[in-house]
Amino acid sequence: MMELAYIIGACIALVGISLAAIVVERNLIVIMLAVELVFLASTVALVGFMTYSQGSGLGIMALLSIWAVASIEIITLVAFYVYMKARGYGFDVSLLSRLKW
Amino acid sequence: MFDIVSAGFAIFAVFTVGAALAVFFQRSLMRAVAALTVSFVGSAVIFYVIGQGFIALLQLLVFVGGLSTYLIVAVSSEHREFGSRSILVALAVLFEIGLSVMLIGLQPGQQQSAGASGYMAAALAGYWPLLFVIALALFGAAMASVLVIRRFVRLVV
Repeated sequence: MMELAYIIGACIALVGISLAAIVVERNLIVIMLAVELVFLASTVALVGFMTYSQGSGLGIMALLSIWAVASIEIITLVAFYVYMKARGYGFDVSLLSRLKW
Repeated sequence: MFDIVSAGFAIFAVFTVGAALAVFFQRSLMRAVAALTVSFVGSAVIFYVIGQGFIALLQLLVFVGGLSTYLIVAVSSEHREFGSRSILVALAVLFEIGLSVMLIGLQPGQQQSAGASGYMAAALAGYWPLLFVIALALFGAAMASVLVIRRFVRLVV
């Protein structure tokens, strides 16, 4: 039988790549895609833990919650993209200074 | 012990992580989102390999069939600039080493069960291959329609 450590290893790889991209990238859309990959890694980890433990039903609720947040993020991202594109703004986060303190 | 399930998981885990890495190496945003979609498909196959077929089907239907298509249509014309990728790769390796060190010593239970989705999967037991084919065919049709629309828009505009 496969070990849970393999699944956790894959999740670590996904989260590591995503965190590095969030730190390095300057394009807002790509940063949001990296956040989406973090959600994917959390989903894989949760399903792995659900599979290898005696589930009580709470796991599937957490999974649905993660899916809902990830879906909302994508919908918000597309709405934001269309809004910025329509007004001719770029997606370089270093130039988006309106949110700075 | 490295059995056939572990080998299948390893193949698709590498596939998923490779697709995730490809997201940040594409100059076209559409290709980046397509790589993200491939990563979603890989994760769905991982769910199937570890015995959670129903969750794999939901992942295919919701993320691959719905949200990825939505994203691809939205960002299909955007290009981006990026510099050196070496910093990204170095940081990724650093984060992975750090997270691995943090998780050393984790000893969860190894008993495999049907999981919380077992009762939902019971009604659909025996139909997984057919449902997977339907989900993938729907995704293929959606992608083909995007390509046709793009060609049509180029012809008109």
